[in-house]
Amino acid sequence: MRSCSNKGWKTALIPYFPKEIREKLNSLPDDVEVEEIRIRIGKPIQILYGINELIVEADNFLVGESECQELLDNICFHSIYAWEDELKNGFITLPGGYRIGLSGRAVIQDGAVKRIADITSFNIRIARECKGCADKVMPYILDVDGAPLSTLIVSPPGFGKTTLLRDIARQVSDGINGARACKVCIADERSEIAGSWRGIPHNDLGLRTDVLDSCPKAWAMGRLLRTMSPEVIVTDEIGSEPDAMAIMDAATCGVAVLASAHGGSLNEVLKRSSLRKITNSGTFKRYLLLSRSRGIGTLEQVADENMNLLFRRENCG
Amino acid sequence: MGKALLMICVFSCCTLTGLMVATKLRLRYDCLLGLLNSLRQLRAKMEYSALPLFEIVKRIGDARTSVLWDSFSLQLEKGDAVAEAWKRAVHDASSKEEMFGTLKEKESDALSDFISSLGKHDLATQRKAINVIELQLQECLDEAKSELSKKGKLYSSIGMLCGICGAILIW
Repeated sequence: MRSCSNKGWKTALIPYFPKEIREKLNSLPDDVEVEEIRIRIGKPIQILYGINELIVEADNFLVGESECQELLDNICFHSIYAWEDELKNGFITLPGGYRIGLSGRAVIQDGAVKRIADITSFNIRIARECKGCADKVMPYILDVDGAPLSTLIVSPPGFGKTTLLRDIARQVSDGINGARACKVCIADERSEIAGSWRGIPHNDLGLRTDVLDSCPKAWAMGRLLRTMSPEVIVTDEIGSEPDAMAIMDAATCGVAVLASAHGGSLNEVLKRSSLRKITNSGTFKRYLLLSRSRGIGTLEQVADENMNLLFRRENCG
Repeated sequence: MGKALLMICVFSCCTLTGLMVATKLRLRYDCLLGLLNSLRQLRAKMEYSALPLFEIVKRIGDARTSVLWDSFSLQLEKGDAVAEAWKRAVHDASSKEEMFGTLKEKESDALSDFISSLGKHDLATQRKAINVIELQLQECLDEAKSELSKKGKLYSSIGMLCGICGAILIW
């Protein structure tokens, strides 16, 4: 039974916004399934929902410098010092897994980015918990014993990879929809899968799930493997060489890895140098391609380790 | 009988006034010492816990200064801006604990300036700001200490002497 919701975003997020922006967001109809709120200095607020967008032009309101500063203060809980690493990486995750991407002026020290200062753009992504959205993919990613196969979910940003990954983790952890109940460990670098706040997951991830939050994926996977005896490791947005190495390391230890990566097609993923090694090694037994042709998280293709298609949506281009 | 009562009253009032003035000096010293210790705790917690400000200030202070920090934390949790939260916390704490009203204007201003910059910078800058306010408060504390040792006894003795003089005059 599929139940998706991002309805709670107003209650969860609106207190962080400055008064003027708060009023504009409060006036949005409740039935609009907001996916992203973009705040840019000197520009009106942009709301993205589905394939549509809404530019909030009421009262000719443009976001000012003071609003950006207040928003930053609020999302950091008046504690910039506590979010230094996040500011360096260009994002902050709020309780509930709402990720806020930041951009502005990078401060460089000794050739490395120290942090992003003078923040001028905020991309607030509305987290969704969608229980049951993995029902359709479960038969493809389980072996005959119901154990999950290592799977890579591929799609461009904002197409529902994390939401799907979260529900797969929940179903595997709880042992439902044909899955054998497994010990699941999540390496949640950006706190998006579990929606953790100070280490406590806010999303339902199943009975047998452990989360290592806010820690680099490759390091987290290594630690989890050595200390938590996982049967399944889940991680989001892989792409670097160390990520690939950590995944291959886990796979050779007999642990199934469920991961996601950005890409417009399965072929694109194969072309990425950092992922080529891992795809060539046959680590992933299943590849899922998502689109938003019939809403966020539409399953377009399922391929096996040799890229033979096991499923292809009708009318899929 | 009436004269004797009046003498006792005058003596008591003068002595009490002297003691109260001396107590204010003691309270100011205690307050500065408490705040200085709190700032040291604040720096340690910022460096090692990486908790948000409202959580840190909840965990600092001693039995007497915690009134101020608890109230500050509460205001921050409510969503007030830092400077505004501090103003309210000081007001709130002063009504509950007398010592917060004994700070001199320059001490209160220095603290307010420091607090309004709290949480707006990275750890290195925050550390420097705490060092600066610590130095300022240390100077104030030294001054309060010498004032207390020099004038504390003086005020209570003057109060008592005035009381004795008043009693003699009435007699």
